[in-house]
Amino acid sequence: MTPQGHDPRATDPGLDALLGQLRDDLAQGEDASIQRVAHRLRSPAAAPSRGIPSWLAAGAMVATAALTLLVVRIVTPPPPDPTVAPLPTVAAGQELAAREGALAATLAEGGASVGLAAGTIARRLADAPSGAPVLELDHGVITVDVVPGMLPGLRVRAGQVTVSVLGTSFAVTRTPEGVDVVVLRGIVEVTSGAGSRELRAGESFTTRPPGQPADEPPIDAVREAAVAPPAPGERPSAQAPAEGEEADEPPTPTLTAVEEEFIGIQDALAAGSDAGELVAMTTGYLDRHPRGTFTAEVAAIRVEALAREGRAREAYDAAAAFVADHPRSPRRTQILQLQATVARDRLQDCALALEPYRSLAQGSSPQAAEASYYLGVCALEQGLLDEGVAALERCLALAPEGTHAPRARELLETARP
Amino acid sequence: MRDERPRGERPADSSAGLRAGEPDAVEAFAARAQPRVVRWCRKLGGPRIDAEDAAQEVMVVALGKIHTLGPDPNLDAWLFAICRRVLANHRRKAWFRRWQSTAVGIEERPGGGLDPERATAAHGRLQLAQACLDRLSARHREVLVLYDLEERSAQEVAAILDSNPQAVRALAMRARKKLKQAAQRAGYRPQGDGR
Repeated sequence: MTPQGHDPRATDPGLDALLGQLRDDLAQGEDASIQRVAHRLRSPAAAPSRGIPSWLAAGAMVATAALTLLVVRIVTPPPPDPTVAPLPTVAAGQELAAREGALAATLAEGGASVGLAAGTIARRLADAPSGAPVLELDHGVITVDVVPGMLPGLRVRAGQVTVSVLGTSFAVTRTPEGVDVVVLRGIVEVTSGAGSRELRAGESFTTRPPGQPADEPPIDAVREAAVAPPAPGERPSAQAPAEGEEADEPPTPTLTAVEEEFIGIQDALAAGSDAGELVAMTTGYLDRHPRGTFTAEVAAIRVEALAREGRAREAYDAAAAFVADHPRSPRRTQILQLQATVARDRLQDCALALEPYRSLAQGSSPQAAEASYYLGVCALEQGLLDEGVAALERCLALAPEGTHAPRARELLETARP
Repeated sequence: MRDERPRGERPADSSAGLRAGEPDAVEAFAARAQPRVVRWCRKLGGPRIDAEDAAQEVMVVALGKIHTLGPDPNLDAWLFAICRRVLANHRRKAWFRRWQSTAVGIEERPGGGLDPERATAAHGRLQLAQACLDRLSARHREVLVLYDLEERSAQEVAAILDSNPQAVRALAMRARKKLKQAAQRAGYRPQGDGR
């Protein structure tokens, strides 16, 4: 057979059968798929979004939620700074009531922070059987920022709507007219009477009747109260200060140029901007403000944007620099995971993946078992037999029934002398 | 000889009508192009992207740019180029989402392989077939889909891929070899083949 026009399939019935099966399998559900796309193209939602009022409302919601997130971050003190009090932790059954001003709290230190706009009432319910925290929003605006990998299964209920977290940052607004959800980063699953759907960064969901614009959340009050960090010992409920405490008058709100620039980056992130644009924005920010409140967050966004743009080597190096510069950042684990994944999947270089996996494999976090597994795989590939075997054994010790356990056992059987 | 087969459903749309945005011409173009785009997205996009989302995006881009068509356009080649760009974006986003999300769809083995049992249970043979094609390089996948699965002529495929028929045939041969290897590794085999 030559490549000049003869068909090699004529002499290879196995290939014929394989191609035939491929055709059949790929045709499964094809007609239904074509119908669905045709329907979507005919629906108004498929039209370009410019000038559609509901999109403007959604954009405003995204920007507003980004601002809410920002002010939550303003009041979230970095761990090493001893002069700023830590956020109060909300226990199961405790009410979160921002009756006289905005409120920030945490559900688990280093795991998730919540911000409530003034006038918002929420409650932390009993944890789900899986141990995941459950928040119930009675009314108002709540912003939740979860470090990916932490508090898996965290849910926010607002009436008939439930938002399940997959490592993300999002805002939920509940008013008598309905519930709005805006995702700032990552993915959530929204469940309502109409079913479930995933929302990604920049997307929103509403239960409002069509054509009814979203109310503007009381963001001024959030900003006003958020400028001042919570006093040491401040309780989550603004309604019930501890005995002897006096509520300070919140200072007049002002946003500095640095904060404005950071909001611009958050807005671009929430709007799903092009990765190249985000790289340029974050690089410029870090050049201008190498040290500051938001440096770690912007550096983390830059790493993600570099990876998203396909600049794998730069993403790897930026991640390494991030881990070295911000060893106590809550985003450290996430960036280490990205660094390792970029090395293994994108650069296909197990030697480069070793270091981030070594860091991730320490401790007993949910990521440690998986990291131990990949550390074992990469170490064996690099000829580091002892380290590979030890890592795989650790993976099995941490998660004997985990996803990677069967393969880890297989590898151990072949790797052990 | 394959190259003597009919040229299939090569569109004969009025490019002047399309450029002018005449509703009838645009509607006829969309009706012909949309099924083709859906099929391409399902075959070329791999198991981790939403082919319907991608197809919708391709159509929106195509309809938005239709006024830029030249006087004698090869609509298939033009559509395919848009499809390729959109799919590349979706693949990149899917990769990023996979990293970002802790939710696992199809479990990946360290070597990048798919566990056939899990894939079959979770997503059926369609996903497994897509995963099998996904193991090929983009160029091999494109040639295999257009030449072997859609049974287009080498000239037609060459026109779509901006190549020449000889190169298409040579690529097709290599793509088939790679497909067999990929199918073997992924545990994908014709039904009833109990080997």
